[in-house]
Amino acid sequence: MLQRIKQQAAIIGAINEYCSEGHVLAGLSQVAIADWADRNSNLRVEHVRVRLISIAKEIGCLHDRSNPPKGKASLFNLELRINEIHQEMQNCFNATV
Amino acid sequence: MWIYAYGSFVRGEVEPDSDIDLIGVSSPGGDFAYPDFVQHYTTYELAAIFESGDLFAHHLNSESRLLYSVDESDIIKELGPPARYVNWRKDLDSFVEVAKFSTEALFASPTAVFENGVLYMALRDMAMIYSYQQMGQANFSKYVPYQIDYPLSMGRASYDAMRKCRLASTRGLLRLDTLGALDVSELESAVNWINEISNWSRNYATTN
Repeated sequence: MLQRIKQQAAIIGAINEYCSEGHVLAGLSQVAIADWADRNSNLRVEHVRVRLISIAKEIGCLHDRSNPPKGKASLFNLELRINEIHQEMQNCFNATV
Repeated sequence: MWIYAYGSFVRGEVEPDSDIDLIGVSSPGGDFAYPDFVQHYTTYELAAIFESGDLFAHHLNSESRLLYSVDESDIIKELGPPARYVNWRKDLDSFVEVAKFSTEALFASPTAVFENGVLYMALRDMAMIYSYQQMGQANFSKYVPYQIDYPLSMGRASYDAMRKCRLASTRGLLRLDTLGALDVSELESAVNWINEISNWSRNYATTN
């Protein structure tokens, strides 16, 4: 469980480096990702939204409910995914300039 | 197919942000497409959960209410009481780890929504496990940390704010601009409680 939580926290933290208060990503559930994309629609974050959905499926938290799923966290290249996130978010900002 | 409700509505703990927890149970090979908000299991999967004694089985056993049955039977009632929750200490240790991770993160960044929500989840689950093992009956209330015989001393307003963060993480419900920063003294009281419950667990395991 801790590994899964840390993975989520790292991905969410990477996204939120680019987000102001009130526009942060709160979680990697499908609903939280959709909510974040709506609140940041001015940044054209569709590519990021799709990538977050894919990452959430890899981690196993897309349908997160009260408790995260039990069982081992999947093998997951966190560093690669964070680099991808940074690239996508930078593309968003460049596209809106 | 069988459909059950459990959770805050069944307990009468209804608040404006409450949702209804539903579980669908299907015969193996049945072709049912449930909405995302409905947890679903086959009868075999549910039986395995009851045989394992997982706390979720105890939760269903004590709270679930049958809404629909394909043949007027009650599959959860027919399973009988779940096995003893023998993995309570392993699960508690996991939640203690998660709680410590989130408090460390929150000391550095008290407004971090995800970590606030994770801390709420860990505190609540630690208290649920404590209530099962120490008090003889599991309590699944969202406010269980305040209802056990070693209650959390964190202010209820802070705990509720963390709960709303968890709802934001899982259901996208929160006006994020209304979230204040968690006070350091509240975090310290959470850390003290986490350590005390962890100590209780170590002492319980060696004296029982």
